Amino acid sequence: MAVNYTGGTQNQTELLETQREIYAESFTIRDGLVDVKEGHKSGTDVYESGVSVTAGAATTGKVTATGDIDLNLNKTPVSLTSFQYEDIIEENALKGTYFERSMQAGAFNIVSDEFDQRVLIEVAPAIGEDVENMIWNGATTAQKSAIAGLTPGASQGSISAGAQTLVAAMPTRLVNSLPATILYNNSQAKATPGAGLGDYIKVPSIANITTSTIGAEYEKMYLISPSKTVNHRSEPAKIFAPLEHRQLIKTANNQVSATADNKNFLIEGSGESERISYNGHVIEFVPLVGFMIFAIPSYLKLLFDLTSDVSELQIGQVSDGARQRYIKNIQTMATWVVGQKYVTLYGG
Amino acid sequence: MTDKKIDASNPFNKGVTYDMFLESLGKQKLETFLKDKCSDDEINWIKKELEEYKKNKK
Repeated sequence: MAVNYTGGTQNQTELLETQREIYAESFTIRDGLVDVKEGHKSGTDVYESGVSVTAGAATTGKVTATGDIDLNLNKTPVSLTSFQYEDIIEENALKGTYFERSMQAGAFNIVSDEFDQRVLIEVAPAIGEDVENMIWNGATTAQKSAIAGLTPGASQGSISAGAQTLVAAMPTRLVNSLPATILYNNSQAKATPGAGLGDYIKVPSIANITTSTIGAEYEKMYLISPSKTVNHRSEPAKIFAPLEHRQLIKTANNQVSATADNKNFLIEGSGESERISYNGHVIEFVPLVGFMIFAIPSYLKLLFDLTSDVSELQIGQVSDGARQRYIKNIQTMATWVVGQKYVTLYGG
Repeated sequence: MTDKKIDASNPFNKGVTYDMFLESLGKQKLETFLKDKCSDDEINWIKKELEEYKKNKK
């Protein structure tokens, strides 16, 4: 017997899980990869001190003013910037979709709990990823212009033309990333205090980083770094490297050939507990682009009003009868660097 | 006291800018000019740096 049916067919089931985008977590804040300080609103003063002493021939007379002990204290004001992520959610678009089933009865009710659980929940991690990128890559318009205005050269104490190219290519953000701050800042603790080139150590004669060159490039950075940084055992210096170096390092370490079987990097553990190091210095993989930083972690500062602001979302009904919801996140942040002469900036 | 003149024939000398070095280089070939002053790695880097410098200047 023939069955006659008209009106189209429809899928009778759906996958319960919605495949979510992958978001790089904000490891820098979560794991405190650098010195994360909170409790600052619009600005804060950063102090740096240093003492230099000179030994003189011993005498039996009373102490005189010799100038042999030089005490220095510098204060630098650092401004924090507030930025926000906000929008209006137009849920009317969800009518007629799968999500309509979870809307409550009543024409006013177009909020879908299921939509919130499946999609809206991704907003906070997406903001976390954006903030993580902001910390390591990006500069304000003013900072970009200041760095472009520096006179480039090859020697220490000058910016490389390559660094200027990298900064020009950085996304324009409301907050300066750590590399941008290291390159140009107004620290009063620099050899030449005030606005200008940072006192960082640059790595000359660098080459493109590939599987074959990565060992040599890390070696250049390691060898030129101040011995005080390398020997700082109470808080060992770390290498902050671009995310893609993890792949390059593993591939380089696994090369087998007559000449290239030397493992330059130590890889321990796997997954969440994996630790990769170079000459005993842990490598932290962060969204840097073109730059690497070798520094004592606490010399790199992230100043916040409140770190939990990163994941704090306000969601509410728009007023005056609108069938819309608003979503808003607001944060205050600045990056800073201290002890600049001990910070090595590969690519700087 | 007299100002000591900076030797701009080697770009790695302190205080030498790329402008100063390019003036010193003139029309000579970079590789030949730096042959006895710099390593191959250094020469390759300077070559790349000068390319970036000229691009950024535009």
